[in-house]
Amino acid sequence: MFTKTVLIALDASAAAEIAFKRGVLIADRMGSKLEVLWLFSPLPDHPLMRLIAALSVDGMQIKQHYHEEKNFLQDVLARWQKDHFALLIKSCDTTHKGILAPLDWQLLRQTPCPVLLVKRDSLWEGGQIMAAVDPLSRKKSCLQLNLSVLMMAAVISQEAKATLDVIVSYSPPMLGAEPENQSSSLSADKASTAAHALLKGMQIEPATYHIGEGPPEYWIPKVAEEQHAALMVIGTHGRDGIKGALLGNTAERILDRLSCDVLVLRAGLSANIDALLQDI
Amino acid sequence: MSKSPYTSGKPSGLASALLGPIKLSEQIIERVLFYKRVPVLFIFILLTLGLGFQAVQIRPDASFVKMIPSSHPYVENYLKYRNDLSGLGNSLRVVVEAKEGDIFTTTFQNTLKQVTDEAFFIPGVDRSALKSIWTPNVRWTEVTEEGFEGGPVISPEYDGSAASLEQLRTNVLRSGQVGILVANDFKSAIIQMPLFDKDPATGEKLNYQVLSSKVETLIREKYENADVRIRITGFAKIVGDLIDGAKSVALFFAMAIAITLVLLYLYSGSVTGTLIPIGCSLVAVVWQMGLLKIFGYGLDPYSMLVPFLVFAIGVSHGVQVVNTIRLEQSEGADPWLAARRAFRAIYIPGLTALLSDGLGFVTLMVIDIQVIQDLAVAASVGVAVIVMTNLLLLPLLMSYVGVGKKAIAKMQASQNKESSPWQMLTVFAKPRGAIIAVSFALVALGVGLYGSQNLKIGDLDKGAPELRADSRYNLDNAFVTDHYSTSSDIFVVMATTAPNQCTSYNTLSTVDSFQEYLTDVPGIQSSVSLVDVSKRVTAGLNEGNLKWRSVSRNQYVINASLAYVPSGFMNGSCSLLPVIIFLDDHKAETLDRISAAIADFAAEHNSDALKFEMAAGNSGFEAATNDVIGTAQYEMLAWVYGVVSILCLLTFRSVKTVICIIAPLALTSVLCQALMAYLGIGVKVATLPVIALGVGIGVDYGIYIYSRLSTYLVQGKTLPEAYLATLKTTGSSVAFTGLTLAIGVVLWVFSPIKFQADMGILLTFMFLWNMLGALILLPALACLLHNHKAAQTEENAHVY
Amino acid sequence: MMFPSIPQIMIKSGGNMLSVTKFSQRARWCVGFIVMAVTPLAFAAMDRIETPSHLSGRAAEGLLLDIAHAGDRLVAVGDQGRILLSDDQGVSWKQVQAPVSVLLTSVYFSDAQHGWAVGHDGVVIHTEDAGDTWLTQLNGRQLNQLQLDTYQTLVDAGGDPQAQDLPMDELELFLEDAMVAVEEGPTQPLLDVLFVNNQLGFLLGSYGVLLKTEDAGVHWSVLSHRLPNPGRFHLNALLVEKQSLIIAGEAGVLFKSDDMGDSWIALESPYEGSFFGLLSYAGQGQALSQVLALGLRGHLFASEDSGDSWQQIAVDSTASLVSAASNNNEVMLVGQGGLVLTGKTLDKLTAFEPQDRRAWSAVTRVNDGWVLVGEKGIKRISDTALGADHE
Repeated sequence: MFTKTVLIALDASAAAEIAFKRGVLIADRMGSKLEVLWLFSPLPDHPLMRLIAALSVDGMQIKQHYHEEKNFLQDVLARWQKDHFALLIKSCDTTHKGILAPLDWQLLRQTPCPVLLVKRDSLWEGGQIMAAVDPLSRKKSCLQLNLSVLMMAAVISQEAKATLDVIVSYSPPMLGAEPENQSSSLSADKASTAAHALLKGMQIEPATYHIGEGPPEYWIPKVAEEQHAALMVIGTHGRDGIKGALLGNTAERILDRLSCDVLVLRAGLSANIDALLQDI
Repeated sequence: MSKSPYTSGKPSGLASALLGPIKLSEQIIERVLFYKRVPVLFIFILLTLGLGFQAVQIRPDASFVKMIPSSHPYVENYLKYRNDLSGLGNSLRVVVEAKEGDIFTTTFQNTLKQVTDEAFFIPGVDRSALKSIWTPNVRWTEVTEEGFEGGPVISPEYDGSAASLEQLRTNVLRSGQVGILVANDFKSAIIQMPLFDKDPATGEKLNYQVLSSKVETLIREKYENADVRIRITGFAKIVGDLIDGAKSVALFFAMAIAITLVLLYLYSGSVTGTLIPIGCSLVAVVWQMGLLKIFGYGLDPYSMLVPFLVFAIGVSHGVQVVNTIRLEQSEGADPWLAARRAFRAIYIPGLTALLSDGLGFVTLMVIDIQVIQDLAVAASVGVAVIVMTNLLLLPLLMSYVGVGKKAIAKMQASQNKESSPWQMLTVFAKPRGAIIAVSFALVALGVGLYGSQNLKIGDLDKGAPELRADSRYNLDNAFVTDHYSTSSDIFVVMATTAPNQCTSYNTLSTVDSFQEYLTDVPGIQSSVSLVDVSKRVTAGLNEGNLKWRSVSRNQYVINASLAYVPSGFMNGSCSLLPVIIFLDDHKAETLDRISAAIADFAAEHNSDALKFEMAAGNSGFEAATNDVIGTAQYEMLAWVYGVVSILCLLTFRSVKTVICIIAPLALTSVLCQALMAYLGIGVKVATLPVIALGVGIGVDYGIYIYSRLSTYLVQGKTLPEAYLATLKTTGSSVAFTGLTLAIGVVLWVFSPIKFQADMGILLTFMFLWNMLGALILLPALACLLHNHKAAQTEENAHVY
Repeated sequence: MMFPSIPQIMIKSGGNMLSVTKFSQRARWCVGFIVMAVTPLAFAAMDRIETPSHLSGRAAEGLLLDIAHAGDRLVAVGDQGRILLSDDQGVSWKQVQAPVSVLLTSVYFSDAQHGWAVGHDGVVIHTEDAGDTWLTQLNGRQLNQLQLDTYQTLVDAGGDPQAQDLPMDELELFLEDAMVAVEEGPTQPLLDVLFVNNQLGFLLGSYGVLLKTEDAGVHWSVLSHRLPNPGRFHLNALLVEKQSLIIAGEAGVLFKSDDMGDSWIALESPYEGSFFGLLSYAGQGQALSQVLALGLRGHLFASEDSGDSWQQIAVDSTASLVSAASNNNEVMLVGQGGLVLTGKTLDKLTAFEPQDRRAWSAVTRVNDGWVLVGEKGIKRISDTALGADHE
């Protein structure tokens, strides 16, 4: 159970409603408090305003916060300072304006809690929850991230009564590198072994392993499309600034190509997530 | 999952330490390149425009001093006394030839006078040292009962009449200029034009192209007619002709590029896959020339070929990249994905190959000749630029368009073919075939080593070897040698003394015995120095009596005999006495013999008061150059091979792999030397870098093939299977590149510039032989070196 | 090769400037030369007076000044101490080493074995084995010392009994000059040598030096003062004609001695220019031989009375004549600028191959032709070639 708050960020787009509904579903299922942050100034007769009013009538109290800071990101972070919410839900905005990183990307990089970007209306129940992990990496942060992602995906699939799939993409072959990196099939074998070992270690049994040649921005969306995934759980390093501009983050890049919801866990927040999950 | 003997259990610590940074760099570059395509493309366009603007401003920059080894003791000595040795450095000789009759006609003399005047005004000419029978510094002398008589050869009373011409004939005979300024057969006359290396007024370097064209227009074109032929010789003219020939060089480049274009299209079947790699390679050339201009370099006749080499290497790599993209696309990827995967795949071998090329060229800097060092810089800059254009820009551009459907279909068809023409070559990957191939290689090595013993250093022919024997320059030069007594091969020994001692009896007497010593050295035609002046004038002071033609022991008599000394026989402070030695030829063995003989004499006779120092004069410089080249050629090869081997070792982390890649290259180098010996091409400044360049170009093939081969081997394929798969992909690119470039370069044989023609032959040979070596010898060696390993258990196998 | 200009002061500045001023310049020279004489004696090692000649493959191509017969053998001498021998009438030559490297100006063999060569720096070398080996008999330093000793003795003795006419101050001048010469060093070239027989011989040279030996060159006596040569003109050639000795030299001086060199008289000279060579010759149809004097600018004179009177022979050239040889009636005269004249009589001299501009220095007769030496080495002219040219 998420005993903490779930915050829904509502922007002026039409998709905000889907995000809102998703938020309501989750709060309902998890029994957590729901709060709303308006990223614009809504008119009193805004459909969502009416929905909130309707829900409060039903007994679900939804606290509303208004946009106070200079930009939306500041709003969210200010909110976090005041009230450490456990999950941020927002609709996914695929328009990219200007040369700076879009708001969604900034949220993914800076929000100190998992972020759920909602794209679809459909229920997760009975669908497929995809956990994208990188079992071949040696970095400590990656290993933590893998664990967090898998745990989260496992919990969600359990709660939502959906199947859990694991997606692993290995790097394309590189001539002249170590032998296992030189050949596609060898890399696939290695990735598979590692993935199985990882999940066995966590005592999670996924329904399917999807192991394929990357880059991840290609493989993950490909699998998600083919499998009609309901939710993608993925980790991110949240690189910001120059690093973010040059290297970027895979999670951000696949946002455009996925048609399902995406739950992004940021590296370094594993403690929070563990605490979170222990509540369940 | 099959375990191959080629996979180890764990990568070694060194391997991961080396690979770590490489892989990291690849990840970063890949992401930036493929996600920020527009900004990156923009930067490339800006750079291309900027460097292109610089590139078109590049100018020919030939300098006499750049072609000689500046730290060689001979050249250091020359540079010390350079100002005092005017006329012995750079000069032009203009020959005015009477087609019919002799020079003693009114019209001829008129022409000669006008040409002399014309020469006087050409910028860059040292006017005070200008010499022809029409200049006042050329005089006749005679002894009479009253003493000496003398005067300028053209007397003030000359009026073109028959009597004047008779007088002129007498004066010429009395002046001793027959064989020097007037031909032995009296049918032509010379105007000697010494040149300044730097304009004394402006300090600017002599512009050979301008000088040469001025001489052509103002003298040859203006005065050559039905009665008179003009001939011009001299270093400056050679350089001028070479620079003019640059136009034809450019034409041959263009032809080679066109051929590459056509063949590449036929091979790949893709328009984009043809235009983009060639376009990127041309961009590389533009960048290279632009950067050189920024660094302050110009084009000299020897580095004229570097742009083409840059193009060739660029195409070689470009074809590899495009081919890999085509492979990826044939497996279903879209252009962006295919380009991205291909970039990652090719990254390590591409970078290694280019790094080897670049560092291999950089090692040419060990050679102490500036022209070659400039070449090293030009070539390394070119290779560095190729990294940017062909490893970065090319995949970027291809990610937009990919190869066409036709190309993909072609690739798929060839992959699926059951039997392939490449099948035949797999025999070399099997032990029996491998042994045959390696044995053949060893025999070839033996033949090559044997043949290369005849490899000569230095010029083997008369005249200017950079130009053809029947080029106008060489015909002119042959004319001078045939009709005049002074050869054009000059070796100058500098006898140095304390100031004001160069005319002392002791100095002159020692130099006299030195000149006598020289008469016994084969290869020396004659020598002349201040001593000869003193002897002749002493005899002249005694009514021309030959019995007085000796260096007087009386210093006053010596001083009287040297009251007027022509320029170039001593310097102003009388501390330098050049001994000008005329040689029969400038063959390397002649120069060696002469240098050794002079060194012997110097060792015995040098003292604080008088030293014999070598050397100046074109043959002196050539001796120094040959000396440097003799040691340099092996030093250079050692460095090039050393650097390339270490890089391959770092990349592939296996000594056996290095052997597989380097051995075919070494064989090519040896055979190339044998070819040079066979064709009579000597190792000189122009041809010295050729072999290093060949190594640089050839190592690419080996690295690409081995990388691809190893990919299949780690998957567990047997060597013949893996090799066949390699041939179908990388092998075909290598074969194509080798053949195409060879065809492009072989046309240079028809160039009017012999230097370019020689290069054409050698490069053709190296392109083809490197290609064959990589395709046949490399797998043969791999087979033999790994053969016994394959039989061992998997745990013991530790070879990639 | 490179013919330089001449000092301006020398051009047409008249007369015997050379000889007169030389005389008065000696004083000046001696001051300057004392300074020079002190210059590095370290160079003594390279002194050409003591350094044997360098054996060179091209010895036959350089400056050669004289050629003589030693029996059937030909001996040529020249620059840098080169001595060349030919045993096949001048077709092939081989170089032998001389003990000196000076310019050798003249060579003479009194018979097939005994020969002398002289040259610059007062050098005299001698062979007793037909020229295979040579030894130095005299060098300039010894010569200077000999002169000094001779004149010192004569001055101390109050005069030379055999030269009564010579005034004392003249003798003292000789002594002064000898002293200066010792200071100057071995600077004086010897220009001609002639031996009447194996024992008796004469050397002549620059500034009027004349030496006589009666013991094949072991001892020499100085006879320069016996010549009436106040101008100290160079003595260029010596001839034995009948019983007399005739000397010809610079500025047209001619001397004759009837007593084997002890005393000399000056002959009346037909020419003010220098004489370079002498020859005894009888043309076709002539019973008696004449003395030919070869001189500057194409001047050739003949005397039928041993030098007392001379007639000029017309020569169609302005090149200096330097040396001559004869065979029966045929004479060949050679000189500067490639001049080669031949003929059977003096009034029918014709030039041979006028295009060859090498200066000649000496000529001698061989069995089937003539051998010339000069500026660029040796040339052999066969009789047939001569005949062909004349047609």
